[in-house]
Amino acid sequence: MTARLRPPLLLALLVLGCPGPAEDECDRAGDPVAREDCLFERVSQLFSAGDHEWRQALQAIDTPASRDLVRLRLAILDPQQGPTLCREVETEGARQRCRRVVGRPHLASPPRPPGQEQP
Amino acid sequence: MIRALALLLASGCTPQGEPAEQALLSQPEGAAISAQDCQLQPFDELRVLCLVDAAAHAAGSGDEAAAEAACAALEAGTWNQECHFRAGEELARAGELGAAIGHCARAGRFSRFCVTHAGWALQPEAGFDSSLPVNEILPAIASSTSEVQAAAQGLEDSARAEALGTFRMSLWYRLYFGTGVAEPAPARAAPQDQAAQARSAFALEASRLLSAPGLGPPDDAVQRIQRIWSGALAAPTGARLPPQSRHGRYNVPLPAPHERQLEHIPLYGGGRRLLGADAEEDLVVAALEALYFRPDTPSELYLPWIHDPRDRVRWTAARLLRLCQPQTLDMEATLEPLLQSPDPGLRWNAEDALAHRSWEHKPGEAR
Repeated sequence: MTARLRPPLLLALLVLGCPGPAEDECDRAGDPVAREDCLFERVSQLFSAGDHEWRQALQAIDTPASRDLVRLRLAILDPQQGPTLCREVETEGARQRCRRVVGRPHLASPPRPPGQEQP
Repeated sequence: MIRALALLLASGCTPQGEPAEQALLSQPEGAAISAQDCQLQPFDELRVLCLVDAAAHAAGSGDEAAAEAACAALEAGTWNQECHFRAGEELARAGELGAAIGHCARAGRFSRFCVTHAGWALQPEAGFDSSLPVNEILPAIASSTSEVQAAAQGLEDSARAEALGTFRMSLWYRLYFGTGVAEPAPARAAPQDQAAQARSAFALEASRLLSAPGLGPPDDAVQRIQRIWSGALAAPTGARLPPQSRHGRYNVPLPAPHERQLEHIPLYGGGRRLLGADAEEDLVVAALEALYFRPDTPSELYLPWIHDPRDRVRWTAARLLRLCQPQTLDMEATLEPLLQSPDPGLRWNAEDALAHRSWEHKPGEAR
């Protein structure tokens, strides 16, 4: 009986927009900085894997500042993606910080193989 | 929890502040910030930005040791290179030439950009202009070039010559451009390894002083610059430009196939020009390029020079003709016959200009 009910129950939870286990995990972090780190890790893993679901994971974050913090951290980690990430920021603070990345276009140039490091 | 407290301390806020909001609070560029302050930033990636800012701020104050410490706190890679790049730029702005190049040498794949930025970040020195006695000017420039030369030993071979060329140009530019006087004597006395840069710097200021901005240079501007150089015309004088306005129109040339084997020197910013085959030819090339620096020079000025018998003069004129905007000249009608020219330089410039309508682009655009 329980086994027969489980899939519909899960589906209902998804439809109702209940937070998934990963989100619970970040909310449980307690320390607000650790929560931001947890949200960042979640998006970052999908982003690094080239998984398109990273956008959904980003949009699932509840505040513009937290979403922007993730975008900015990703842009710093991977300046080649900076223009794309920074175009989407929502807050003025992030916009200004983003200028430190996208305002320096050489950062977006791919690193060259050893021995050919000069442009 | 410790990091959360650190964030609160760093932002000076009450516990109600959300960490993301606090982390994104704008830290104005150039704000006084030290590497120690950055340790309070709880997010690793933002700490990276903070350390780069701290290095730039320290360098801008001439504090090379603090800039060094900030960059040393960053692990090897893109941001460490960027940190040295920013430090190099700011140290040059503070007049610390040797230290600036030292940081550029450690800017990895950004070394060349760093050298160019640092070279052009040098600030004018009040009262240092071409009206001073030559025996005061030359030792001052020699001292700076020696400092540059020593520091440039740390650069890779491929970047060293370019760095020396850039700094030589910048040092002579500082002596002339915007100073309100274009006395040719110091440039004429320049040592051989700086002669081309000295000619260019002289020509830039002479060109600027030939007529009021916006009026455009006279049609015989190149000949006038030649006559000023030879002493047949008096050295022009005029209004000084404030240091922050000492710039002009420039263009980073595309590598043209017919010029590939010829020697060039760096000009303002990322610009560069052909080196003339001899001093006389080089002055003409320098003058043509200097006139382009004036944003009010039209294509028409270059028209007579595309028929000059000297290759480098012709090719320089053809390149600048197509980069300037014409007053009344029909550019298509002017360029189309050049497509049939036996001269590869004229042909290449005409083809490229017509393909991209280069005379309609603003400087800094793709073409």
